[in-house]
Amino acid sequence: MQPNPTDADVWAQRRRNNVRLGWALGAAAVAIFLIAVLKYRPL
Amino acid sequence: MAHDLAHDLPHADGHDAHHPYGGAMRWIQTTNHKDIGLMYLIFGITMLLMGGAMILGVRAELFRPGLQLMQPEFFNQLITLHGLIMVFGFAMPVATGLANYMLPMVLGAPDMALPRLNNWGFWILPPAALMLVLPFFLGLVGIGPGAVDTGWTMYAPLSVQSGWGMDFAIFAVHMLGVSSILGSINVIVTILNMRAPGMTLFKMPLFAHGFLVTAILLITIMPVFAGGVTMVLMDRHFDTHFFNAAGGGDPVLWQHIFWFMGHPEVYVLLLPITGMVPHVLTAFSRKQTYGYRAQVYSMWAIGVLAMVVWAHHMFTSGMSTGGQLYFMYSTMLISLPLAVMFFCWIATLWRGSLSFETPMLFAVGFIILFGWGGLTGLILADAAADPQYHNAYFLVAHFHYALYPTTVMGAMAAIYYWLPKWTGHMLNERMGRIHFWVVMIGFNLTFIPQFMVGLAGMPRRIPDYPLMFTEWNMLSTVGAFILGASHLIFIYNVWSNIRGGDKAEAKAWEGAEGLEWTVPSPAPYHTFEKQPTIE
Repeated sequence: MQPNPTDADVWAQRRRNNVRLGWALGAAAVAIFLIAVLKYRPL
Repeated sequence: MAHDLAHDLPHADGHDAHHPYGGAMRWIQTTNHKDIGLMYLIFGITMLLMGGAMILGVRAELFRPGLQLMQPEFFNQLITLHGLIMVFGFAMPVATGLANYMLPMVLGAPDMALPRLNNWGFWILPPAALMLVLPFFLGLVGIGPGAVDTGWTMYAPLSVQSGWGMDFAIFAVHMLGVSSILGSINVIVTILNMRAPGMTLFKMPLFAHGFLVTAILLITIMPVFAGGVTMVLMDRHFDTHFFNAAGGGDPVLWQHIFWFMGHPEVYVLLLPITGMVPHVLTAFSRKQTYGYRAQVYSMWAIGVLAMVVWAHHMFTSGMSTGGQLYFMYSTMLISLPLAVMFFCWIATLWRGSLSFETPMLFAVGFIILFGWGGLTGLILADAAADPQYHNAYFLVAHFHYALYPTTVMGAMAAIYYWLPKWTGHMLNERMGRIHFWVVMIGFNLTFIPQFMVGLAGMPRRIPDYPLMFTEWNMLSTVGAFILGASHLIFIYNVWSNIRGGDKAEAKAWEGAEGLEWTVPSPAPYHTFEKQPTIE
């Protein structure tokens, strides 16, 4: 069922989802950075 | 279904839900997507002028053989900064600016999903750009060795041995990368979470699809590049040996890391434009875009393939035959989804009720010139032929045919297309057409001669050349200055459009479609006071 956008709670939930997804994508970027550096660390 | 967003915007727990600050604080603290988009665009165009001025210095030097105006070290700084500025300072910020300004409007969203992150993402850019160019200007007044001078590819071991302009470039690239990743996070979250009710992914405008693939690409490649430049920094100052063969490292590793970012970067610059161009073609051919799903699938195919073809830039670095064959065929495979898109664009025009206003001219110009860029890329992708052309001016001409039509002409098409929505005024079409034709003449006059001298064997990145290349280089330099002048016409057009012109309707172009054309021109500060619904 589609959420009712007249409900402020829906927007609050949306905002929380935005922040969660933002953190997840940021964590993915940091993980890729660490993998790139550690994979090729010198002998 | 309509909903008053003024009271519960996703970020409206206070300050800017209704009115912006006045003065400088408006721009420093703004979280409004239009303000931030505008700042990205102004920043990008400023960097375009700076990077362009630098390459005009290079072209002036190359007007005649022999050293005329500058020493080779200074020449190297100019070509390096030109590349870095144009890719990281101009093309990417302008694309992010278009995303910021237009994504919420085409998606029916009140703003970008993470507005404060958006503000931060932009304000990282100016200090990063300053850091990149500061050693250059210090060098001009006799302080330090000047800017990074390794070429934009920053190949090791040269980058490990270069002067401290390289350190500035490393930090600048880090900051530009962080800005780009923050922008990408915002784009993905906005597209996935903030679409108007009823707008499924396959009802979403192609503009948004292009940016979604682009943002995912950026989040994948930029951290790897950040890792690479961190390794260079460590090799330079902390005695590591990532790229030092004597210490167990490998200089070719840098090439792999760089091109793992560098090749998808081409598609990072291309895909937003391939998403935007169908909007223009649809509007000015007055019919639906042809093959919507085929174009979406092609964008994703390009996004995936872009990640697995990087070493075609390294055919001359030493590679097994099997490796060469793999990278050759996988590279050529990209031409399939690109050909699908070309077909769809042309089919959109086919039997349409065409008119050639300025945005349409730039969109069609993009298709033609980018087609040349793509076809000459197939020659370079051939592992057997590539050694003949690699590091020659043919390569320079090829990638300018690939990148200029996308990043500049595509962006011009987008800006001219949406300008009435931004300023509330229609463009002076006569000046728009003059701009287009000066670009076409200047661009082709600059780069067709470079194909010629490249085929004849002139290497790139040299300030001097044999006499036999003189005539073509003179033509190229004349073309470059015409092309440079064309950007002044663009600035005049935008400036005069801001100041006045015929009043634009809400739907400024007769054939335009999309949510952005349902709101008044210029669009209100908060675009959708009532959230639209897609049936």
